[in-house]
Amino acid sequence: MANGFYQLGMTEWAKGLIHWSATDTMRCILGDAADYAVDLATHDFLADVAGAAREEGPVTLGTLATLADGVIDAADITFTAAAGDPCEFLLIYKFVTVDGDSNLLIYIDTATGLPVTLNGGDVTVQWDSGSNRIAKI
Amino acid sequence: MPTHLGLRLPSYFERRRLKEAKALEPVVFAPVRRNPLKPQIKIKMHQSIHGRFKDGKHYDLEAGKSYWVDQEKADEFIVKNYASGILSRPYSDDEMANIRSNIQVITNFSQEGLTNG
Repeated sequence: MANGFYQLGMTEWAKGLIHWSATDTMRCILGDAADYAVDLATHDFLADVAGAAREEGPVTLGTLATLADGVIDAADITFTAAAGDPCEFLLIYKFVTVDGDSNLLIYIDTATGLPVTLNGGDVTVQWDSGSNRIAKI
Repeated sequence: MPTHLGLRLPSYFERRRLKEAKALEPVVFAPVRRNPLKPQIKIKMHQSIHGRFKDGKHYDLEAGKSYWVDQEKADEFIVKNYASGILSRPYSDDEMANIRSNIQVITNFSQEGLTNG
């Protein structure tokens, strides 16, 4: 698998129902691929991701920003004192009170530092400081 | 004090006192687990942080916002540069290096092709 966008989430984005701003709450989890087989074409809500796969988080993304050319950014995040199964992916979604309504947006499993073995220490995710930041839509 | 048929009637104030006394509920003392108050420090988050309390409950501190947190945690977050604030005491270089020693970093993914066009 490679990093990618959830297609149904992007459809909601295109409809104007996803706002990468303080209007919406964006969250990120660190996940265990042993308990989740990603399907970017059909998975639409967080309920598609088994609870066992959500190893660490969620953490709310802060300082959301949209830059030129459809680039989105946020402040770095940290999962403190992370412990549990090894984690292979990060997942960003729009949080709306219940898992069944929380749109899956971005799946990341290819990055320096992934997979990560949780050893009780902190795991920091540094969004890229280059031209694409978190993602370019 | 008025008396009728040899009975002494209580005054208005006495009747009111008796009525209020009946309305009082007994006090029940229940044992509670008391936690000593810990000093709190205000910090402003540079990063969003997820963590767990000792009882397993989660906390989620969002970047850009300010929070009051326990002094011990506040110092940890400030030393790790997750937040800004005032340390409760000076930390030596060795102490700070020790606090920062166990951090893994995930990065460089957007260069791996997370673009949609």
